[in-house]
Amino acid sequence: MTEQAPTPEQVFFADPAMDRMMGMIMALAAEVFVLRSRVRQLDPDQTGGDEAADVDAFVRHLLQPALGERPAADRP
Amino acid sequence: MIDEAAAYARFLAACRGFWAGPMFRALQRQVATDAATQRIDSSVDQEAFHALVARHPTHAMFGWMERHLQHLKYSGRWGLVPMVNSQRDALLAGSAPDDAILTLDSALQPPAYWLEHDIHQHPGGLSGALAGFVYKAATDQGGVVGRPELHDLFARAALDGRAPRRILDLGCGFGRSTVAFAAAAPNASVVGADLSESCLRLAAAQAPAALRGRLHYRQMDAAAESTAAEASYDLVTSTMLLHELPAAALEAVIAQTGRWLRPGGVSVHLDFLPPADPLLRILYDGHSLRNNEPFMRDLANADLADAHRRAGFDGVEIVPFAEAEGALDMPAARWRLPWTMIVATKRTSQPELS
Repeated sequence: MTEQAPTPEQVFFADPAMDRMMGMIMALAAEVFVLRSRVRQLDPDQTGGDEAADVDAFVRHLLQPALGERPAADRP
Repeated sequence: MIDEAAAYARFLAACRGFWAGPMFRALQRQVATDAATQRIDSSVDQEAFHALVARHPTHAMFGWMERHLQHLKYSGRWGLVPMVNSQRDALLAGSAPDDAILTLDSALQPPAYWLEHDIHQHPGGLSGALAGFVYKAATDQGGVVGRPELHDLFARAALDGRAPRRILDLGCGFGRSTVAFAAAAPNASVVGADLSESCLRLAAAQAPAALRGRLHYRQMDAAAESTAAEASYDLVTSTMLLHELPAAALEAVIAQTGRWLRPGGVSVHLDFLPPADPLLRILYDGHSLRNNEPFMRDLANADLADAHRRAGFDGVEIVPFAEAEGALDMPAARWRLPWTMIVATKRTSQPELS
């Protein structure tokens, strides 16, 4: 009996390899954040601030480049 | 010890916040700028506008994020399905339903459309033994649907000063909407109906003690049910049910609702109807695909007024629903599904034949 082929995932970018790369980047980013949470718990002095602000700052840092916009300060 | 799943959920929730806020606003302004540069009027040249959006890199990113943040929520390393599965025995042992308020139908044949799609990208959909726990965990992680206030707000709006004695809440899931109606209508007995045995068991296990005497949960296919008494309800409601139904089932549910309501009774469905703004409409249609909700477009294309008239109603009223303050403001500051109330009153007499 042959194994049924998995259903292909939806594609959003012109090059489907980009979709796959995005998946890898987000999986890695999730790992980093979970590790960061572990560090925060082990050594709160190193990470500082409250966690809600930290996760927002982390995600902004991660995803801002996805918008394709220059920071306002860089505009000529 | 750190709760890794909780940290992962916070990360995904923050990503979702960025996606619905800054990323959505960037998409709006970038598309508007590009359309102006290319002299495309979105309300006139719809084909060119669709093409512009379809090839826009921020739209691709927006779509990817919508699809995959939801996927990661359910199926990633710390996704809800593996997390709930890992607690299977404890969850089932700790949630014995109150059998007095639960009626299951062991002979029920779930419709094919319900089994064929992993709705919301929930692996296995809502038919598995743990599906109710996964669904509840998904809503508990945030978002509009998870807030009890949404259901309380809708219950008050749907009641609109009425004091029904019998309410039928279709597609009740694990009972959040049913509880809201029981709380908001203190003289009413409320029946929550759903296809999902797991959701109904959870609803019956979690029913608040103060309301339990007026609540009942019943497994049934609203589109095919034949045993519920005719003209026996004052109010029939649903919360986010209609957009999960293919066209034939949608029509059948509206027809059944007309049968179950007494003359003068009211049906109020809270659901998503397509927005008028061209970009929001594209995102609405895209959500249907990306979130595994293929029948959203059936609801968008349905002639609700005609379906209700044929089911014995006096037409239908479409009422935008603000789930939060400022939610209906335009231009939208955040991506949101277009919450709408679909309100209809059962005719008190037969229309005259012409």
